[in-house]
Amino acid sequence: MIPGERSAPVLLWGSPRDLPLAAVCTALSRLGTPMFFVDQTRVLDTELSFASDEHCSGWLRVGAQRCELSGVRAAYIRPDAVRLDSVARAGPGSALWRHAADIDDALASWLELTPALVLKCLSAMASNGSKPYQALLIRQAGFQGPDTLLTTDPGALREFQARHPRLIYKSQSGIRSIVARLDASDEARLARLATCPTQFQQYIPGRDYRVHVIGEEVYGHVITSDADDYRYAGASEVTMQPWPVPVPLAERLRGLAAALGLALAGIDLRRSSDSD
Amino acid sequence: MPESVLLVLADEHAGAAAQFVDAHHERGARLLRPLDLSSPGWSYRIGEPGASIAMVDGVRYPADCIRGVVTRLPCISGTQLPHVVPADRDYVAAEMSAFLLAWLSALSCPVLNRPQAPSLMGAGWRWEQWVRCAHGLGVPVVPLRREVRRDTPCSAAALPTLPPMTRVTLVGATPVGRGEPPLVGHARRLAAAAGASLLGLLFDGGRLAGVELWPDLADPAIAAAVLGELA
Repeated sequence: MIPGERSAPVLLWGSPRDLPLAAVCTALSRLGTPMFFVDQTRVLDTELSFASDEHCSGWLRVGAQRCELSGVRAAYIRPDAVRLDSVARAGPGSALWRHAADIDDALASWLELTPALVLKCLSAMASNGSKPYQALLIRQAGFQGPDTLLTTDPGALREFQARHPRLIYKSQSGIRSIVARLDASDEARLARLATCPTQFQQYIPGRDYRVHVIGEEVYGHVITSDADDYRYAGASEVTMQPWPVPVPLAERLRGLAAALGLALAGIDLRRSSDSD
Repeated sequence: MPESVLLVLADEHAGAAAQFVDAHHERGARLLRPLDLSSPGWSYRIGEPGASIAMVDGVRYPADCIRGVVTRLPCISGTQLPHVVPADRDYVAAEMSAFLLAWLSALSCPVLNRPQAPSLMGAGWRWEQWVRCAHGLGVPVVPLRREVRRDTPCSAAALPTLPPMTRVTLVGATPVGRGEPPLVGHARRLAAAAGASLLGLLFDGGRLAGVELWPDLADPAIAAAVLGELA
């Protein structure tokens, strides 16, 4: 099989319990696209061998199924960092743990080297691990963002709050947090601010939009919610409606995804009350 | 006006970093430890790195007092935060790593090696990526096949077992000490491709055989080169 041919397989990596991965499997099945599923739950029955040359050739075996890596035309990956129960029980340093870790590392390495198209390439996704770092890249791409302060200093926070009376705070890392507004009830917790730089942002009132860029295609949705973080609206109502992304904005968003090295990107936008 | 400092981001138990800081303390070398990020006083407003404030060993340093940074940690680990309750250590470590990635990336002073997400110390390449890079640049390299099987303890070793190897250490584009011109040329091209400004490369008979991401700061020649690069 030659990469690029329609008969070349798409490599999928992750857990069969992962809903987005399952949805992609279903869609590929309906298209009749060959797949090779690297099931993370079968990591102990997985082996891999490849050369670090210009061809990156080799093979990958999961149970009795084998894939010639030079034939892979694309990959969609959603590996889970959580270890299998048997691996976790064996513990770090055990043969099982080392094998699982080696497979994850070797496959991640091959994915960085392969000429095949990799959606959600791990190195390109790395900027998600630092939201303020990602914000720098987004600004360099020409987008505005909320005024943001990272601090362990209550005094600096008060000065920032004087500039922006309404603030939110949220995680800087890829560990998901619920966006929350800073209010009087947080005053007592500010004594713990010294533990670690915390991210505070100017609250931008307005409407949320979620745009997905997939190659050259752009899909938008407008979100209606009263929650500070619509992803955790709880009992509050959340509606998502298709939204035609204006052509100039779509072009800029494609540029942003390309600048971040992402063939598949989900981008959150908020339109402020002054249409910014 | 605070003194001008050269920060070394490292674990507090990193011997070479500590030796470097001790030896060059009067020239402003200071150790920036994970513990320092739990000090009141840090402040960085996105888009204004020049106005940021760092706290190092309890001393406040505005960004314009930092004349350079040497990064010796790829990330902050929860094991480096014994002062944080255990249940929160991994989260705090991730937050600190995220903060440093943004702050160090934006500093205008020289940073050896400037972060490349997700690593705080430049391109966090695996050995396979170095080998592939070498192939692409036409740099002779020891062939590598990565293999992971259940019946082998670890993946195939890449490094040859024939000592000695020739080491080329680059600080900026400058080799430390005398180096064979072909190897220095190879090293410069590899370092440039990786965006690395502090790097050691090992050559076996003219072929790339290994990479050192932590050149020995306790080596006087390397230390002098680092100080010169950050002067």
